[in-house]
Amino acid sequence: MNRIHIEARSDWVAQVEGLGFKFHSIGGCYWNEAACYVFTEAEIDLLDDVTAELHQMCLSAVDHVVASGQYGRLAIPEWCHSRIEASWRSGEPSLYGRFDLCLDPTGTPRLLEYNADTPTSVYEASVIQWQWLKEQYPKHDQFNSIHEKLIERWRVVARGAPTFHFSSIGSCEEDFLTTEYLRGTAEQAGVATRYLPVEQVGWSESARCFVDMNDKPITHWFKLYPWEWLISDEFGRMLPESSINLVEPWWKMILSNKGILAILWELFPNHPNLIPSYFTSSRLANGYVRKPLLSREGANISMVHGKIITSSPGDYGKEGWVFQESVMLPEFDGNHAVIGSWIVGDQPAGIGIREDDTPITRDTSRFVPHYFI
Amino acid sequence: MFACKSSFARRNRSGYGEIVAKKRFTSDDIVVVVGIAVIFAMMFIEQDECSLEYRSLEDCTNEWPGNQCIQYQGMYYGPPVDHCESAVGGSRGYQGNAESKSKSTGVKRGGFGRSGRGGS
Repeated sequence: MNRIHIEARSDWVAQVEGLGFKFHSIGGCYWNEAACYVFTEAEIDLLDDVTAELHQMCLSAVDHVVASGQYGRLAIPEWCHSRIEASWRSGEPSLYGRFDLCLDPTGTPRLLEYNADTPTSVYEASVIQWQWLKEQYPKHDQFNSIHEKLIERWRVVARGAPTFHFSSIGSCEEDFLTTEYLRGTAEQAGVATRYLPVEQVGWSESARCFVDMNDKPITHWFKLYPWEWLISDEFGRMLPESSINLVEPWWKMILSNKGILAILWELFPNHPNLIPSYFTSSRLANGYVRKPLLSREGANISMVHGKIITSSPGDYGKEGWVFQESVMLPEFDGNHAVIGSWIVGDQPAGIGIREDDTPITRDTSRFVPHYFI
Repeated sequence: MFACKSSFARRNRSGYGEIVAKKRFTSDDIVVVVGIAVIFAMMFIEQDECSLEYRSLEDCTNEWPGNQCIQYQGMYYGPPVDHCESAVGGSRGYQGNAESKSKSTGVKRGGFGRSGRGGS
């Protein structure tokens, strides 16, 4: 994995905006094609294999949590347990997830965390960097079949759905455009869809179901809205009563919780693709990263080595914490790089690289395209 | 664990083994990108008269001049169109006063949602 400086396309703004990618400059610079990452084929094969293996390990971890009822360690409310179990045992399908990996000095990918519920950067990984590749390096290849695999997966996920409703926070452009992209992939799979802001989802007292803007029942719902918010909102308690089918499904609540990192380490101790993680810091004398069980976009993360070295602000942490051994992200010209490796259904589907000036990847961390040789 | 599969088949965009391998050096991939561009252009640029949602005030005003546009949760909405699905603005349009609507239909809204980002 190398980072090279290159010339950005002179008309890159028009190019990406022409594809509907409007949030290319959030935080000043988000899409950065003045550089790119170059992998070898062997490195890509390794990322592919590791992603598949991590996915299987995560499924085993869900099975373990459900079988042993260890929801308390993840601060999942008791009223959700039976619904999670039913969701898991009936095999409710998942659409996608993103493993955030770092390459250690030996080139081994290791799991920093798993964005299993509401992963974003999917549009830029799937479409924008692919267009970039075709224009800039048409003779090279890219680890990227995200778009095709999403379409393929929707045919499974949406089977039997009369209409699939899609929601995000209405005021957030990035979430809205990401949701619209995913809705587009569902449409290409032949699924009838409709968008409505999550704030506009209605609850019908008479029909005891969720309804859309036209008061029509929502039977299948993709929400780019975290599970932990969903269940703590006013309408959350209505979810078990309704017969709504959700993407991501209930059982993803287990995997989207950072406590899963500690459970994975318990189940697969010393696995080369995991980083030692615990529910307590006492076993990490040489420094650790403290992460809230529930948090987003790098919020409330502290790096501790005797004292706090660096930390990020936020409102998370009241549910508890997980402690992960401190590992250094690979650094290229002062840029700390994280590989987001996509799983769609059960298949590894591609990668997107985010980089930041700091060791903590945040919502504004730059997206840098890649190719391999 | 994937020894029987070619590495190319696992990572190519279409990802379906032999069929895909044949497509590697064709223009199909460009067609996919262009197709997506067309879809997004339809999503964000063209507006059918029942889809009254606009990304900016300028876009909305171009279609609906004279202070007809309403800002609502970061989006802009034109006025209701009578023949559209909903009498208050179409399936994706501004719904007017949700509270008064609730009184007449028994539907309560606003039970989900908070500020910020849901993605990660």
